[in-house]
Amino acid sequence: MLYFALLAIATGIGLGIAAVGCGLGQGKAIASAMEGMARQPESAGAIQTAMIIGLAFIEALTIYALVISFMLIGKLPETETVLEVLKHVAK
Amino acid sequence: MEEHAAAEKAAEKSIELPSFMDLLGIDMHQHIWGLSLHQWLPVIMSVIAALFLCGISIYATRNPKKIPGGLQCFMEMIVETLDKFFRDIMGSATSVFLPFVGSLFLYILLMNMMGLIPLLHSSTNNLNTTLALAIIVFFSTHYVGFSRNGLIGYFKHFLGEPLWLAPLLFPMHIIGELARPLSLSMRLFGNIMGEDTAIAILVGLAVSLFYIPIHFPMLLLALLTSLIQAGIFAILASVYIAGAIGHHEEH
Repeated sequence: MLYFALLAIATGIGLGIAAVGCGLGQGKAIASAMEGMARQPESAGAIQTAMIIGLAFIEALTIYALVISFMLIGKLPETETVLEVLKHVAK
Repeated sequence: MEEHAAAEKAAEKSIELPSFMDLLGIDMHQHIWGLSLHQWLPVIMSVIAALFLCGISIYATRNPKKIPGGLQCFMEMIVETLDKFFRDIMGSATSVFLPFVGSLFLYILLMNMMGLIPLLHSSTNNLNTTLALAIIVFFSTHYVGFSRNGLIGYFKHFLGEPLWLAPLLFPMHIIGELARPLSLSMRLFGNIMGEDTAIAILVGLAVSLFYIPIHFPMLLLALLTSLIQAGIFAILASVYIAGAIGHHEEH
């Protein structure tokens, strides 16, 4: 039962940790791109393309965590089954 | 066989909105050529998307006019915008590769958007679809690099710039090349699946609790995600192709 409890915690917290890093990285990237665009508005298009490619690479890391978390959710038992087991344990 | 059944069970357990096949009243568990109808759904949806794109392109260019009107004008606008966009990345190679990356973009965009229409289903929220597209990009990248640069230029590309670092850089380049289709497919699959699952959960919540469409803001976000992910897939494909061609014919 502890195994499933840890699994359930991991699905939520793992994605949260990944999202923290991704958010910090993307914020830094967007801030620098905005600064560059404000200084040189004529090269805004090139900066924007490069920024979007970079954001895609950063975001991919969180997406890996999302996919893993969905795979772990698939391994969790149904709530009814857990309640049934708990009833037997309580007896 | 057991693994097959497990995969099928996992596919049914994932949260999805109903598709039009659920309304037809046929048994979704029957097997055709070893796959259940649940597993055929992404294939059917991607074929619908491809047929729609082919049909509308053929219809729009059936008798091209000098002064285009309506549909032909719209299609020309799409092609011109894509051409202008990819010319920044690929340079003079755009005229050869625009049909490939441009149709990748339109096809993925259409497949992503199909998930937002009720009773249709995005086929890109299945890893098999995105992996197939990424493998096409992988092989075409290497074919282009091989045919444009020849055998020596192709391997020189992997060895890196200072030749004495080649023993270190060669394995790194190989791993990097092999990681590209993985990251391309996982990115598209994860984004679209996450978005569709969030919409399905919110629809379930709206039906069971509130009776108001609280998933509506998520649909607007999904429109944006669909466009950006299709764009990123096509941009990365063109960046890989431009990298394989090499820098000697830039600009």
